[in-house]
Amino acid sequence: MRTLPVTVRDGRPTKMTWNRRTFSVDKIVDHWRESGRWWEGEGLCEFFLVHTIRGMFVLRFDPKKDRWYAKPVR
Amino acid sequence: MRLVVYVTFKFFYVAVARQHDPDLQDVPLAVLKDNRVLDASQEAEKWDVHPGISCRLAQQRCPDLVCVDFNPDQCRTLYDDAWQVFAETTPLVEPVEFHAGFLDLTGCVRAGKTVAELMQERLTEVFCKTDLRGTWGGGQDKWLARLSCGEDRWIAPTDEEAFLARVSIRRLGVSSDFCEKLQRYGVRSVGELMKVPRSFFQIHLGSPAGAWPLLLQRGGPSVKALFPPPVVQARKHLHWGDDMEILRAIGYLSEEVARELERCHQQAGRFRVVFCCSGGETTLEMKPTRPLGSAETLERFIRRLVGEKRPERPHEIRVILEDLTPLPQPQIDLWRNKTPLREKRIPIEKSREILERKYGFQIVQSGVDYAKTVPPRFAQLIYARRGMHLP
Amino acid sequence: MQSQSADTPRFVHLHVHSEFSFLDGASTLERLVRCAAEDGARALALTDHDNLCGAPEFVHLCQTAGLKPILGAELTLSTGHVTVLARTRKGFSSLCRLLTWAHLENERGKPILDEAKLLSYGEDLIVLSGCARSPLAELLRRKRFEQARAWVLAYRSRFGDNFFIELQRTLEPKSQNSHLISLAKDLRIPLIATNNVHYTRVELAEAQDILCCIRHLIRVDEPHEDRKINGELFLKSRQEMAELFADLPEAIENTWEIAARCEDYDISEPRFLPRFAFAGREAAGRQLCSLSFAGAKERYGEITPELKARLDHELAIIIDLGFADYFLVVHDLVQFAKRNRIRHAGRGSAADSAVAYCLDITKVDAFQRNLRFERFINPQRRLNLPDIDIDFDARHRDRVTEYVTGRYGKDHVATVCAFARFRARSAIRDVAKALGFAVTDIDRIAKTMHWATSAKGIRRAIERRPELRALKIPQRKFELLFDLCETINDLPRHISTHLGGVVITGDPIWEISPLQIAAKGVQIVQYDKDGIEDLRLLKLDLLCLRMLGAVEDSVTMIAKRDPVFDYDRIPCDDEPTFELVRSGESAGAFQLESPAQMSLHPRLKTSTYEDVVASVALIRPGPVKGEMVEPFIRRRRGLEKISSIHPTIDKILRHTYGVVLFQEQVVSIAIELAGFSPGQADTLRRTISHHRSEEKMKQLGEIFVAQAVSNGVERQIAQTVFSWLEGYAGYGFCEAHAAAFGDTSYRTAYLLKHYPAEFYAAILNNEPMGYYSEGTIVNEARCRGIQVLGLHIQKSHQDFTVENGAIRVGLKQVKGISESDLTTISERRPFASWGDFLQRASVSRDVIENLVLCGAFDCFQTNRRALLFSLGTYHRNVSQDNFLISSAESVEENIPDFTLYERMSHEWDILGFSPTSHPLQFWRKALANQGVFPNSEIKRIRSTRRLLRAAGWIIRPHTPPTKSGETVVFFSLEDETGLLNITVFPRIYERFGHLIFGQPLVVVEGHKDKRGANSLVANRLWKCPELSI
Repeated sequence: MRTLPVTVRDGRPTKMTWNRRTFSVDKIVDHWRESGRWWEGEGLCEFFLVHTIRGMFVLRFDPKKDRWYAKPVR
Repeated sequence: MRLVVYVTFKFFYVAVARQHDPDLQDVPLAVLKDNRVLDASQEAEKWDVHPGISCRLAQQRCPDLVCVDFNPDQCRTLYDDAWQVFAETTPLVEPVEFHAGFLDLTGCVRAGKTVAELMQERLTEVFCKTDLRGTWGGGQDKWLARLSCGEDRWIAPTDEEAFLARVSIRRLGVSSDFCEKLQRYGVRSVGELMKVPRSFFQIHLGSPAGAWPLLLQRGGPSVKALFPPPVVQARKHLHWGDDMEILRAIGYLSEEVARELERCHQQAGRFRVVFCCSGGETTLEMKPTRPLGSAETLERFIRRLVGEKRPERPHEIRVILEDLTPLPQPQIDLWRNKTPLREKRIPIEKSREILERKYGFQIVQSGVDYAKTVPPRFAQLIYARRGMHLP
Repeated sequence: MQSQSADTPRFVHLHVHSEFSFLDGASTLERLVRCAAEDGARALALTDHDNLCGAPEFVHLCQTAGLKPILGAELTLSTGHVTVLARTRKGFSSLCRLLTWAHLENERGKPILDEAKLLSYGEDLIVLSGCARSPLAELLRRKRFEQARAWVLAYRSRFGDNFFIELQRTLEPKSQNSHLISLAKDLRIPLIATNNVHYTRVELAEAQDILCCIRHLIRVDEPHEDRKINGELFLKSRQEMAELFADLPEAIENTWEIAARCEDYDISEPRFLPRFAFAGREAAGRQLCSLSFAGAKERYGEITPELKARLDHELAIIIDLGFADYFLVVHDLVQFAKRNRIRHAGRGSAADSAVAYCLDITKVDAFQRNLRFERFINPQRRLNLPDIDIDFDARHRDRVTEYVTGRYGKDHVATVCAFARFRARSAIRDVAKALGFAVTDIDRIAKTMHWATSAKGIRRAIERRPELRALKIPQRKFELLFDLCETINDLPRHISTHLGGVVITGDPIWEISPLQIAAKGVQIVQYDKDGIEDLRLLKLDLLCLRMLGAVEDSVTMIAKRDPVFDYDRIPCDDEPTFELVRSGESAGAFQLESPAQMSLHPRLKTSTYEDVVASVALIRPGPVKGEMVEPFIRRRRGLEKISSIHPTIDKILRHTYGVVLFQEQVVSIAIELAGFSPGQADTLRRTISHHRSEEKMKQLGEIFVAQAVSNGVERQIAQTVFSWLEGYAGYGFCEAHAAAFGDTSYRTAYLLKHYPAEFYAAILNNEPMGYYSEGTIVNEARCRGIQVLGLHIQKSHQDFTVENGAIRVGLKQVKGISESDLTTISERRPFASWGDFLQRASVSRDVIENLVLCGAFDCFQTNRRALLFSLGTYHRNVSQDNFLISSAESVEENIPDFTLYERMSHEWDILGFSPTSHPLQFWRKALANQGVFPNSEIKRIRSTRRLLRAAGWIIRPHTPPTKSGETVVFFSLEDETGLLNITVFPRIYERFGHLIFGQPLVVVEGHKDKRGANSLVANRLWKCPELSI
């Protein structure tokens, strides 16, 4: 996953940047949380499956690092 | 008449553990393998903790017992140090465990010396080098040598009968139930066992005909040379010993040793370059961060190593590769964009064939395998179990 | 339910898993209810997986917290889970029935309900469509929309407006919520919001995950479909739920609607008490009176006015409280036992009842002992049934249970369950295994934890206990382990069977509790003893006591030589019996055989029956910890004056020498000194015993003192007396129970004194008895001069028997011998010779060898080794039905036999003991050279200054708790001359403790006990060195 800037409103992503292009998030298809491997110290992460003009992406937000990550989904 | 000796080092694994963790000195210590005590320190032995008992029983007997797991990688250095001493005495050194093995001293005992004296010297040398105490026993064959371990003497053929009459049948390594049964019939020692007719056991113990002679099996293969560990080396004689010739020799020797490595599918963790001059030998050694396999890499390293340090006018160069380990099979990932075949758009099966012909290996990583190298999220694994895919 | 203000969301959690969703729910009922109450909820549902185990406690907790309890369950169908709530009492019964079917019709531990049964028999239930594992969610996931629709319609048609579609927004991906919403809207089915609660706070998600791993026996790094991917399943507040379902406010509102629809019902009802074949309370009462007085006549001969008054008083209370049927049920059971010659004895507080004595339920004369009936039945606690425990001969206890089942019907009888809860050891083992710790590490810690340490106390235990500190565990490595263990402390791990508790109901039992099969194969209710008590169900404790079997066998054997002997008419003042008890040589006698008891009696100088009764109560953790034993002994022996405080107190405490020893004395003091009513006094006793909060104690003290003062007692005296009650009542023993046990103790001591051979043979036949091994018992018998005869192929029976005053070892004792071997030998003997045996007795070779080695054929040939050799030459050709005896008849003469030591070793190995020798006798000479005395000699030595050495096996080391918290160890040392009691005080234990629990054979050096107990106080211990024979 790559880190990238994401615009957020009310805790939900509205815009994202990918390959130096910024575009809006059309629709949040799914939203979930994962605790990860908590026994190894992994923290809770928030996931959004979003639909954009560039296709579907999975956005992950890591509150510990305060960072967004994205990965395209086919 | 052969002089086969069986040597075993007491507290070997304890010493290894203590080498790696000095905090374990002077504490009752047990080294465990498969939940059983492999070795116990002297302090632990006072509490009746000895090899063979279960971990649970050991802890019951000795509440202060510290247990560590057996780690074969840690044994290497002590193993080399200990067995090297014997390797300098005889070429036939066959360690069967890290801490025990056979030697064939036939022809190695000088006139005026006995086997016992020779072994005493060697063991003293081992002790000075490693602090390990050894015990030994010897005989004409491996069977007798093993049985007499702890006696610290070589059992001559004339003494064999008397010796075996004293050795308990438990030393043959049979189960205690079987020993118990034999004892009920008055058979307690190996000597007595050897005298009992074969039919007796078939009748009274119900064992198949061939079973009991296996207990007394003698002979077997002779002592093999397993130590010192193999090395790959090559040497080249030099006429002039000038820089040009040295560089050419280095290239040649690198190819030679690399070819040998490739032949036996190995890579080297360490190498030495020995220059023989009229004034003596100069050795340069290096342990690269990654194991070496190819001639080019080796030549580059040797040149870098030799650099300014080479002596004047050597008449011989030797390159010795040590710390040999099997070569890892290269994983060629078709799904990464690094394969040289990506431009050619040939079918996967064809690509695989080409790669296999080129590299000579069967293993070519598929996309599924590649995905495994990037560990999935735990939630993905859970969802996979549910029959669902999580992006 | 009261309505709430306009802004407060009207939400009720209707899908909640408690600790009784075993290894799934991570919060206790108490925490769940408290959390809901703090959030301002008005109701709460309980829906554990396929059980109602928490129902009684849940109802009680909700009522206390002011919440409406809604009972339900999450049912497992073959296609998934559905959530079901019981709307009415009838709905609760139908739920119990459905759960019973689910459990009984499937493999144990895997209850699955047939969906057709839910649809056919689910009366008065509210059904929710279920969580993500429901049949509906599964159909939607597979995109089988038509089938999903059909499923919903089927449920709607069956349950009407009591069927709801359940929505959960637990932030898991690929949920089917959108489909569920559209389906609900399409078919006009109301939606409700739930959160599938598994714990109260989000921090407990890790504990829930670990419980899931334990349940599936996987490590934490192994995925499993049941594991949750996040920690959203906590008891969210009403506000949070409302925000989560802000777009569907009706889903929130409908939960309130459902809660209002559920009635407030009581799950316990009087109809569940069994009727003893008589209609109405009066008839039962009359029957009870008649039986009681008939029994009294038999017991006492003449019914004095005082006895009549006592019986009338008890019967009035019993009948008034409606317990007559209960007594008749128990009486019927006892009569069955009597008819079938099954030895029995009532124990516990039931022995406080004269009616119970007259009905032969107990063997303790409560009238003569003036025991308080109110200790047994408190008239003020009308709703609680009495609790009668009866011990039966262990061999026949199951017959009694079968009788009860046959008498009242399978549908009316079930065993009470028990919940095995996580304590330190079990928590460490399970959690560490799940976390992937090395077995060696875990064994180390778990084994050194005391069995009673709670999981919360692990860290403290490691700090305090020297043996745990010595392990040098790196704290950080175990941080996660300890945290998780503390979190899951006391959570139930699994359901198991109560030892002897049996429930009998009037109406079918599955109307009040689901039934399931336990691991033992018996049918159990899903409530434990506390739940049974809350529901006021009739429970009997039918317990096993092997000693009763031993007594029965003794009586049978004694009858052969003394036909007039009657166990029940043993005199209570037999001086030789007291002499035996005083000597401390009572190994084998019930309750008098522990080292602590055997040390007590020589000091106590036991000379009366009451001394024996008192000793049962004295050697308990409470009095030992409370340092009551020494004052009692001193006063009993007249070495200390009993100071008089008040005539009433003096009278009550007279028979315990001024020491408050029994709970009945607390009740008597409260009644007679402070003027409490009997019921109030028992309540006082219970409060002092169970509730230790300082404030409550202070309140009680004030009431007690005030009432005593108003009764004319001086304030100072009243305060002093209350301080005694405070100090002692916490661990005071029930006198009735002490008397019940004391009775058996005295009688078995009598048997031991007068019929030792029969008694020891009987004990050996009923091993394992729990205290001493067979070898020790045989040794004790030999030390008393009773000959122990070895195995004899012609004379030995299956069991141990008595032959002319000697004990004959039984054939059953031989290792590996089967029932069929025993039958064959019994049927085909006598054998003319060794060869005859080989020919006619078709017994396996291993068994024949064992018989040879333990001397069964010494009558034919004393050279056992020669017999072994000749066995080998014997060959039987079974296929030809032709016996080739060959040289079996002839036994070689010139084979040297086993030595005495070898013979003893073989006997020990095969029988568990040697009839004729003890190992230490072979080493006696070598031990004597080291200054070691035989135990018999040490016992004769009086001097307490002389340094003595003893050696032997360590038997039963144990560490009773002490007031200081330090460890004192008591054990027996066994040699060929008998047992010697050893005491090891803390300082010596610190140095040599490892030998006590690690080495079987030790040498002990010390002095005789100055207090007069015939025991050795150890100064030093060491492992017995290698000895030559």
